Amino acid sequence: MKIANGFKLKILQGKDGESEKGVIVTVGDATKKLNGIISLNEQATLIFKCIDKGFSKDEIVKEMLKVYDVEESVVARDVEKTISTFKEIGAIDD
Amino acid sequence: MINSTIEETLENVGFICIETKGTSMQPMLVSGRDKVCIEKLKNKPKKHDVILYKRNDGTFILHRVKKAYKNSYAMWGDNHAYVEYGVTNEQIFGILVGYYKCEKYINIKKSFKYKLYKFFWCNSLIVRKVIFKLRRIFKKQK
Repeated sequence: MKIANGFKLKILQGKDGESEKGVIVTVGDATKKLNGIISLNEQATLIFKCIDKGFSKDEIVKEMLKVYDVEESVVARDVEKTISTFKEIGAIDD
Repeated sequence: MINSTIEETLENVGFICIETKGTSMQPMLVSGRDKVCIEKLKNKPKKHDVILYKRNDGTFILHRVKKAYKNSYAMWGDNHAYVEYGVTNEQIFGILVGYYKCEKYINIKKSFKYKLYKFFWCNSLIVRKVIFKLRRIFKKQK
């Protein structure tokens, strides 16, 4: 699982000036798949970063559990859902 | 996923990344190849900032501030030698923060090449006019 060519993550500062949020933009041929931007929440931004680093699903869940105090099953479900959304838009190659 | 207009996206997300059309910002931006990253305007634009504004006919324009007056701006494209006066704060939606040249991201606050380009290209109308004239002559000879 890796981020598809041409899908880039831009980090923006949140309205409070402290939090960060991510936006997916596309360049080159990837623009044919997605001509626009996808605004991500904090969790989805972290998942995207982990995929970009080459983490597996399990590793992403572990990484999320370091940051969020939530049950593992809930995190695993959210990671799964986010990954499938990324796949739908063509942002992930298997 | 939601389909939003440029204004809505800038208002809600605070950021857009779009392809440019036209030749007015050449040589910096090439139509159909480069993408510009624009953030919602937070402060008053300064001279040489590249801003996104909307003309009265509804067209969005990305041009550079030639001069900032008290209540309006004089704008021009990098590929222009003429100036558009009377752009007001109400017409301005965003400011350029960077762009993808092919697939390489240029952060305009950090890029030395961009700063060099801005210094030489934007500060000399004479150089620009000479280059445009030479280009016309060269095209005629072809």
